[in-house]
Amino acid sequence: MEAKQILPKMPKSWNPASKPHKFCPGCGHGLVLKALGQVIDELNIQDRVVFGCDIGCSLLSWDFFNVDTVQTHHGRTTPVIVGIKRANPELITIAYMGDGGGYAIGSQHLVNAANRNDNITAILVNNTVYAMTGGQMAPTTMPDQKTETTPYGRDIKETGYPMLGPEMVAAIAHEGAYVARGSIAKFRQLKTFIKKAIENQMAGRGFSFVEALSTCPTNWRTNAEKTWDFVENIMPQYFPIGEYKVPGGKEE
Amino acid sequence: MGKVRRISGCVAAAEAVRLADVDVISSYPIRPYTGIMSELARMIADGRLDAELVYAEGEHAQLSIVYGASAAGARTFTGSSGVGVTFAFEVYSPISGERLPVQMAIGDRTLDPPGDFGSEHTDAECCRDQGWIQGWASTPQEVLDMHLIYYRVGEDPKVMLPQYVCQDGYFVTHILGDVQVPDEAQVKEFLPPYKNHHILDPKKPQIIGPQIEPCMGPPQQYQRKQAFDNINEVLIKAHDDFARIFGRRYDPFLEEFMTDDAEVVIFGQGAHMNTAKAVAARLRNLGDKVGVVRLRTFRPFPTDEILKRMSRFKAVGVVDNSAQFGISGGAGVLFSEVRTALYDVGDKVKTVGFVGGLGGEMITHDEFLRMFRKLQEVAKTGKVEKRAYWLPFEL
Repeated sequence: MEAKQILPKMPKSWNPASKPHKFCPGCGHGLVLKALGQVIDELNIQDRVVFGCDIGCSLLSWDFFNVDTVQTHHGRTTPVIVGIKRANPELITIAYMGDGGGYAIGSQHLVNAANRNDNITAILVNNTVYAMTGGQMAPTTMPDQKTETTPYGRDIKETGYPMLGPEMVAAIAHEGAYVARGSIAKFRQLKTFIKKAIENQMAGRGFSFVEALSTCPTNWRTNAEKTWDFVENIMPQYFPIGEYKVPGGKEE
Repeated sequence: MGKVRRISGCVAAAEAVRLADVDVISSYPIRPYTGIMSELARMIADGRLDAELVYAEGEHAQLSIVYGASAAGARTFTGSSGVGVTFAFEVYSPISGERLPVQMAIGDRTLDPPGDFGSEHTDAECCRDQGWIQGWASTPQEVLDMHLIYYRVGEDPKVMLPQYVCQDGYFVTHILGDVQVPDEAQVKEFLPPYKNHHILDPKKPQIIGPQIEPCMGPPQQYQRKQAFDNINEVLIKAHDDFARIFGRRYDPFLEEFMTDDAEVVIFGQGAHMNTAKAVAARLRNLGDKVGVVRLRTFRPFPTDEILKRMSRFKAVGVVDNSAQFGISGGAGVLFSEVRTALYDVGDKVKTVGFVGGLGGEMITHDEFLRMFRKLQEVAKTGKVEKRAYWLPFEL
């Protein structure tokens, strides 16, 4: 007799054929994509979404959803998604990237899309390292954090400070933009931020950007407890969680 | 006399950079070359190398950083793979145009598509005409040696040009080999400290890279061509000195394997030629007169050497590990250029092009065997029925 496979409840917009997903055990991408999947379901927009993923670990989401998907080059997801949106404004377009893609090789695109107030949603997953290539120091690596290229910890005197993305985007974004930083350690809040970001696009108000603090136990070389402690307690000390720009002023 | 270490192509490149006492390095991670930068970061952290390592925001910035550093008088190093190489494209010609002897390691990777992690020469070959010296190493030892030799050639006052040192992704970058890592004193004798006489110096102000008038274009381009014409002489001298100091002799242009009485040869560059040699050796045991010629210097392309040394074969099969769509000859750039080089011998030497190993696939023993058999058929009949074959689909 064949045992019946019991699958956990997953968002309708997910592609069940690609599950279990390709991310490492303990990776935060799955939670961010779960929040996004639930938002797509709740807003009932699965047939209007185009999802773009970057290079790096975020590319492992190329078959994550049952929606139109495009995998672009490193850092290039934002402008590709802008092109799709300009060609067909009826679509709801989401650029999904890591911190290397968004804050290093694609930082000019993030800045310029925000400055043009392009009506797209960018979601950036911050795990403080270039994870796909083996855990090198990234723009978001924390002070004193050990990585492949900073074996004794990141020396901020030599290599500068972690990049504060939402703060930067909020500083240049225009009226109508939505900017927030959430964390997989506060899942419901992160989901709310992602929902508001996509609703902002649906309302045609302009650029929306959510950074999600996330985990990389593979490259952090941490066990479950230390991994969660880092994302829940240590990362927010440098990367404060909250909304940075809300159309019409900050909501309480 | 140094010591023997079992290291990968990536670590061998990093050892060369350390021995060359490089001043400024710029990095951005992309597989498979990333291991070079990880190793250099460790060397700097451990105090084994005193250099500035800039963690750039992308390859375009990487190349721009070494452009500036070289213009300010530093010996520089950078590197990349695949689409990282092409992302930086804008900066290649300015670097050679300003005659800055920057060095760049390329660990080959496919472009997109197929965008897999495999090795193809397509990425580095895209940059072939940007005014850089360029060659392929086929083992970790050759990687280390080629980096040192190219610094010496590129920084020669008669040359002053940047250099790409290429190695096949994975087949060399990630495969371990026994490498004689020389002493620093030996390297000092071979490679003098870097001296550039037209560096940015506030005491003697000058302008680098300005907008110029069209009439100033031809002489500037011609100077770069003349510098290129000087390379071979400097390259030969560097290889002679290298052999004298380190005891390892390479032919600067073409490595020949079992070619003495060969009737047909496979011609190519990089690590796939190691496989070709193994197949040639097997066929020699069966009495077949076959050999392998491995190109070591791709830019400048050794036209005269090829004409002089390869016109004695009946048939030459040129293996391209790259995709150049619509190119003359219908295979890849090596085939196109070997055919051009052999034009002056007329119909005496038959040439056949083979494209193989795309997407990072192996070019297998069996595939090389089929290529040799095809060449033997051409040599025997004197007829080339089909100019070029894409493997494994067409042969």
